[in-house]
Amino acid sequence: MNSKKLKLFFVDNMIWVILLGVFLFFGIIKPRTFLTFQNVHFILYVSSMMGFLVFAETICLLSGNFDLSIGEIAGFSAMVTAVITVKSGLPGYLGIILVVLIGGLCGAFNGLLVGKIRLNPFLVTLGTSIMFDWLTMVVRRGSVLGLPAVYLAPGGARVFGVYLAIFILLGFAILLAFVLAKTIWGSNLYSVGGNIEATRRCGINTDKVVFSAFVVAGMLAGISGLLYTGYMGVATSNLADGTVFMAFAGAVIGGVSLTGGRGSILNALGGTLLLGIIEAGLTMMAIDPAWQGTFTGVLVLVAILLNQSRQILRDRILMGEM
Amino acid sequence: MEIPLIKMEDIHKWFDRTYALRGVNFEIYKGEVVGLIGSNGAGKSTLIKILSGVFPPSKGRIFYHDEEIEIKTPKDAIDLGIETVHQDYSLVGERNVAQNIFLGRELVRSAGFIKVLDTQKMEEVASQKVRELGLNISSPTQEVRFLSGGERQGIAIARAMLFKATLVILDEPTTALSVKGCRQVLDFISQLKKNDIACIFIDHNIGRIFPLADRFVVMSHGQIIENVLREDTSVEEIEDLLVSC
Amino acid sequence: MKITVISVLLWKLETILLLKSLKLDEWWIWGVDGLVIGAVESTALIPAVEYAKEHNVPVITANVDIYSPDVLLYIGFLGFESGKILAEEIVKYLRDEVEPIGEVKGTVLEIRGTMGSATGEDRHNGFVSVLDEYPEVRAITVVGDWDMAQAKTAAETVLRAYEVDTIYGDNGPMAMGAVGAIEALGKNPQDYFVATIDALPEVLEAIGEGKIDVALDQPCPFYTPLAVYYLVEFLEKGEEALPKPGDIVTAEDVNIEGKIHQGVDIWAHDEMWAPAPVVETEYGHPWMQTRGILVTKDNYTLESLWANFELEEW
Repeated sequence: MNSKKLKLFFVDNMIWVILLGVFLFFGIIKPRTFLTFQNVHFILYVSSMMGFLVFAETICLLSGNFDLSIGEIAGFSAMVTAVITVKSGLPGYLGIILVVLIGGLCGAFNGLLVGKIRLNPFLVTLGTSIMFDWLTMVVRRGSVLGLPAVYLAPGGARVFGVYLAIFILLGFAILLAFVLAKTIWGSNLYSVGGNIEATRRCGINTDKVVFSAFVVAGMLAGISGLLYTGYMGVATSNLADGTVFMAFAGAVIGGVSLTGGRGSILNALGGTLLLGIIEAGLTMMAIDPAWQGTFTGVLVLVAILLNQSRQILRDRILMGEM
Repeated sequence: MEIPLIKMEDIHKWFDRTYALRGVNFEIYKGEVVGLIGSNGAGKSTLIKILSGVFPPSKGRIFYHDEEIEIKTPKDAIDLGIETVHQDYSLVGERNVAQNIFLGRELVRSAGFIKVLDTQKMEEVASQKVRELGLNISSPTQEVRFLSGGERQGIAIARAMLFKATLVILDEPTTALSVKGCRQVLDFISQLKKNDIACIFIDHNIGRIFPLADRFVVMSHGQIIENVLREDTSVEEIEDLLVSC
Repeated sequence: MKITVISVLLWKLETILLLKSLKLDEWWIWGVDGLVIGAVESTALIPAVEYAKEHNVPVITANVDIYSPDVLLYIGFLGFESGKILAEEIVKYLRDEVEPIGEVKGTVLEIRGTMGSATGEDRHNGFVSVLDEYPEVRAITVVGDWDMAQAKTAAETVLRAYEVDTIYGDNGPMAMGAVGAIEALGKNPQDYFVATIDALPEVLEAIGEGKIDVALDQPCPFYTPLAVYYLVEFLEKGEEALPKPGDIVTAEDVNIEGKIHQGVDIWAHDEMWAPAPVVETEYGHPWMQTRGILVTKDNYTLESLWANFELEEW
């Protein structure tokens, strides 16, 4: 029994083993720059924005849905908030609340169409992603400068030399992991993703659960937009454009099931960090960007393959075959 | 005269242009066991899905203790004390035994100012219930997708038993089961009866269920063609009815 | 002639594909007499141009060319040339300011736009065409996809691993990202020579602060007015009115009534686009190559720079 638990622990957390392996691989190639505290600090920092998009996608995937619009929600909420904040002189902390709120509203729009009207999530979020993308252009084409320091702090400021964004990322990872494991909402989210009809028959308002998943995803995307803004010091109109597939990749590499009901937020964080390590490692090797992109694809595939075998291993352990 | 626990009046159900039920009148009393019988497509499953809130009737009225009610969602049915074990068990394969048993009725405890799941308590209760049912499930944390059909059936039944029900509906509860599993289900039905809980079950094996039911309702082509007390009929008579329709 | 302009935004590939799938017939129903197209990519709309030709609708391209002989005239800046000009600025800096003085030696970080985009490829090819002549210069290339955040991450990653002397960004936001990366590393952007294409408002500000050293600005505000001007000329006077390969178009050749737009009469600053030599492209139509302007600390406050007069709501 104990060895079974140990094996399970190992396969359940395999992403961290892969992560360490890839890190050491680049460390061997570029020991002086890669194996430093500064580099780890840097990778954690630049992963924080993508991390929130991965969290958003993970929540949606767990509920058995897709969200193609999270990147655009991040961009749209960041831009709207930036314009309002600068034009009306809104205090920075209210801007932070506002960006999360707008993200949540965008998510609610998705959630209404998918959860209540029961349209296909792929098609709905395809539509809304295009809509939010262009709405951002309606609001403003170009950058918004002169944002209050408080508003830029989450994405740009440091505390004792460490970027605030890293604390926010890790804090939210723990918070979300707790909510998913320990609350009725989290439990329902997994059940809806696993078998929505069965869950409905147990008296759970599944429409509401799906709706709330999109709202939470939207809010997390809003936080990502906030961090992106702080990272750059300005809000740009193409902020977080085209990030959605990397968000999918991060979640899936972290073992989140595309069909719903299975996955963990901490492992999704592992997937995000793995992507960050791969990007930093390949960039530091200064190879042709086209090859860098190709290798990124290959490494993502390898990670997904390893993860797939992890799932098979896990099932075999659970069935007592190993 | 005794008031029926549930009374369904002139229930119709159509899907697009197909008629599934055409004017069904059905009632069940407290503690009564009704065997619902009929060939495939007769409308049995449609009838009980209306009762358990999977979908509403297209037309007709439902009374609970003589009071007209609407069962729009599974939650409405559960709130009335109607527990259903569906043919496909309605379990979430990715979740474990305890999580499935408590799905929709999770136990919580206070941790500071928020309520968190009382996982330990749920697992204890689930273990106990599973043991009572004589199911061979090693741990309440086992994922349901690894279990056999009989074990899943047992979990669905455990769920129905755990909460205070007034009516338990079993849709083909013995189809996937071994002989031993069947006996457990039949035991369960007689336990319900002892506790004054009404029960509707659908089963094809008339010989096996005959001794349990108080009354048989036979359906054909979306209508009830026979409604007879056990003492007034026999296995042969019902089988003849089924063949003739 | 009364001109009604219908603007259709062709920005992203999706829009182009969408229009392609719309069969384009719809456009002619509106009674379009001519088309000015500012495309994203140079090949996707070739069928549209051919279709226009079949229906006798003249097409003038602005900003980005479409590789079809059916295009009447292309008005635009030379992306290749702009990459080249900035590479020359970088070479000059490496020769005069970086040890050993007098030799062109050092490390250049190039932040590219999206690979495969016409603009990105042109600028990159022009840039490397100069650097390739200097074997002592190490060029590290990363892709920033025109995006500030992506460029910042890539630049910081490279700056952590290499000693870099100069940075070149294929567009302004990416150069701004590089400046952000330098600052994030606790270093001073003034210690790096940063060159970029397009003088956005924030780029001008950075030039003022010494964070960016040089930007090559395109005469963006002139493209479409010039294109519409020649389209009308063509419709009224025929082919004869259009510039031909070998011509050099000067400000006097173009008779556009000055109109104040956003408080500035851009036609008072003709030197920003003229004189423009006309050449034959390899795709079988003439190209009016507008000038560009190098913006440095000396001239970044010039009121005719578009970023200085369209600062709000552009």
